[in-house]
Amino acid sequence: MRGRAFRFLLLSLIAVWFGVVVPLHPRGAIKLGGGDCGGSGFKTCCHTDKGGGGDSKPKPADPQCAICHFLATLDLPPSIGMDVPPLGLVDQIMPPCATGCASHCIRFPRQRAWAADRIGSRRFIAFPIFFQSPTAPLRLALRFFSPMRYLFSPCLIVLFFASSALANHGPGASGGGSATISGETLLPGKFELSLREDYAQFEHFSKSAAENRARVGGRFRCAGSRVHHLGGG
Amino acid sequence: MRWIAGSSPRRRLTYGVSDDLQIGAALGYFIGHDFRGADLQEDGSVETSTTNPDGLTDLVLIGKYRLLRGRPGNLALIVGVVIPTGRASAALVNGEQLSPTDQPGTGRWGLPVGFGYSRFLTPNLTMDASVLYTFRFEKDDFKVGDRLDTGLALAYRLTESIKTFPQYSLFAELNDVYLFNDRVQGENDPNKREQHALHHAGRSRAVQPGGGAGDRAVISGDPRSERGPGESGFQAGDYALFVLLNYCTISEERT
Repeated sequence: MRGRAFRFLLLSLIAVWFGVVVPLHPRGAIKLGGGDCGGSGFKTCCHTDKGGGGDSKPKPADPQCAICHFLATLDLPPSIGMDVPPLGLVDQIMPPCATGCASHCIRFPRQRAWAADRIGSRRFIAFPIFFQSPTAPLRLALRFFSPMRYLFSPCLIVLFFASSALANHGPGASGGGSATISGETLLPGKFELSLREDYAQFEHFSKSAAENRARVGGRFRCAGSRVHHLGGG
Repeated sequence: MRWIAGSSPRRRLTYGVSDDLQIGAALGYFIGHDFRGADLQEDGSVETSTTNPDGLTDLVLIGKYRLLRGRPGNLALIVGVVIPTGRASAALVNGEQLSPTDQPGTGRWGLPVGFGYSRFLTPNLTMDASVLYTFRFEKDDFKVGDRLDTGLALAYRLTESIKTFPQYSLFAELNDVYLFNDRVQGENDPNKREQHALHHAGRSRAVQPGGGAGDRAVISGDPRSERGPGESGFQAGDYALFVLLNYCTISEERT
């Protein structure tokens, strides 16, 4: 329970921080201590001036903005290139010595085996997980398809599109979910009326099944459905 | 084969007070079928009873204040109050009163607090996200478990222009409703823990009748739900379906 709540809070914090606070913060609201932008050698986005757009947020060219400084100095991992370079015959080489290769493979560490190769200008390091244990591929697949990835992926999608946001939308104008509450508000003097019908069908427990459950737990209740007091936009 | 079923039609009216503030009220009516209760007696026998609980749900008043607007999207603070006006006296046929969790109305006050966020991702793709925590107050040594609602929705408008009506959209939605344990005399009741994982996908339609008004009809389904009577096992949901008809007066496009 605590882990689940913590994960929700962490994801919410990340989404709010990178999706709302970072692009929206008033430049220079939180200043760095000391000199200009932490001295030389630091990158900063504070100096960029877009010449005033439609955004009503103040954009002072403050080189001491702490949030801009934090973003400019983030040490992000390099992006992974998925493009495959064109294949073709490059050279003909002689096969290496069989004896030397065999002795090398015998001494190759089982758990730390790795192979490196160069493709184009990028260096790829592959860990042959099949050598580690018979269940390693299955464990890797389970780790990759864990439920948290499904929860985390929407946040990544949101962050991916965060810089391309154009405008807000009014209720009823477009889109929106059915139970997710929007951030929109109605125009003054306008009203909205929602009529919603929920129907839930649950697993059936016969009288004998309910009695058996009660003999185990002392008390058993099986209800039709829960009432959802809130929902929609 | 018989199935346990229930439905809860709800009505909600929302009014825009100012450009960034709206207030609303929601009220529902709960109809349950084949509610079954079984209790182990001291002599080892099991007494079973059934009922069909129905009645008004608690009244919910909600206010939403928009904190942010513009290019980064809209972020709104949601604060409300759950007023225990619903029916809290439903009982089994043998006379035993249902617990507050199983009643149409809980009979307890509550305070929902949360945030809603919306923005355009592309000119046709919109995103809505919300989180809402409902704190419930204790009464008669029984505290109905708090509730956490989270949701993320993506909608794609099929109609090219936002000014063209009617508009057709497709949306996909991921919702999670987490109900914390009830507390009876200060201790958690393991028989009243419930967790829902709802996945919605559907279509929406927005039309603009005369006078610049718009309405939206949403049909979605295929959610999953699960209810856990604690040590006695759990009761899984087969499916749930809801229909939402939304009428909203919009006189101008917001950009």
